[in-house]
Amino acid sequence: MATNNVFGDMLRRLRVKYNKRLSDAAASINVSLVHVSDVERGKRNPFRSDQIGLLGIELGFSNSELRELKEAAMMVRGTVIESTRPAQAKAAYSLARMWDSLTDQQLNEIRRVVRDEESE
Amino acid sequence: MTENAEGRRRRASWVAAEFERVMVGSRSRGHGIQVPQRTKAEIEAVAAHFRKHLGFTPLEPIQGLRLFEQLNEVTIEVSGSVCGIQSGVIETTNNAEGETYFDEESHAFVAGLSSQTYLALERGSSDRHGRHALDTLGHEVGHVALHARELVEMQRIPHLRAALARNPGRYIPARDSEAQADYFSTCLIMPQAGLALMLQAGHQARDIADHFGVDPLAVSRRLTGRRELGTDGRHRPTSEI
Repeated sequence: MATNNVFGDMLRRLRVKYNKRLSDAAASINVSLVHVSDVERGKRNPFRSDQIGLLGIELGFSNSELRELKEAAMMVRGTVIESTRPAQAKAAYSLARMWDSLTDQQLNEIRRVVRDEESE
Repeated sequence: MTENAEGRRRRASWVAAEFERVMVGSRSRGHGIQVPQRTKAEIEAVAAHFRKHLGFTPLEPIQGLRLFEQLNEVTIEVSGSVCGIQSGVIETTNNAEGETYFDEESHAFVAGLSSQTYLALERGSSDRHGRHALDTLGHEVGHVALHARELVEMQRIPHLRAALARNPGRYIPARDSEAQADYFSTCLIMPQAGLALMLQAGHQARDIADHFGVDPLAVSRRLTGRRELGTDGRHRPTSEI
């Protein structure tokens, strides 16, 4: 987990940016200080999506920051959206497999296809 | 269980307990391990360098939470390898106030505080517990700054050898890891250069204590050298003073 601490790093950076303490984060989702700190240090899995949503609201993250945080959590967890359609699963696994080698241009193309409003 | 097996179990248990007692960087259990001797001037210089690296001027009081967060931006080179520093709230051994170790997985030193210590740190220097928590954090930072090599090696030393490394009969305070870390904390929080400036400006111990957010007694000790390494023969943890 420590080798891929994109979620923990991002959470800590955002928490510090908004001048919030570990105890603010812990209280917002009713977990211990150690739990939040462990997640930030990459020693535990990222929070669940609903917890991230609560965190974002309580700590004042913007919508785009919240979305990035959720994406980071999915990346760390290796989550692939479960699908009943084989074509969806196949596309998702292909994307995951190729993820590290995709160029910026290819990523922007993907974002354009999925109608990401912020694609360049 | 045979008698031999029972004997081995007891010995293993003793070794584990001894290891925890001696090797873990906890101030609440008295003396630490013996490390290369450091003079006061050396520790003062390392602390001043660390302060500067963190962006604190000599006169600037250290805010505990800021120090806690900024540690994560610092790297330290050990035997040619660059390691990170992580501050964190952790489950400390035997409920110690703080603990420092090297985490091989993340290749970083962890300056950890107990939940209680972190919550005290949040209260700031206007609170007695907050001041003590800052001292604890400074102490843990001291372990990273002064004992990085030992911390890395300790992760690789089998417990039996590590536990036997201590020799209480030849105790030398200036080689005590805990005494050194305590002194580092004092220097980090009340740097010599800042103290000199305040004294030159005619400030009294009370003013200095208020400025740096420490107890007046700590200023008194700093100015009179009563917390110096090796002067009283035995090092006492700050929590006992």
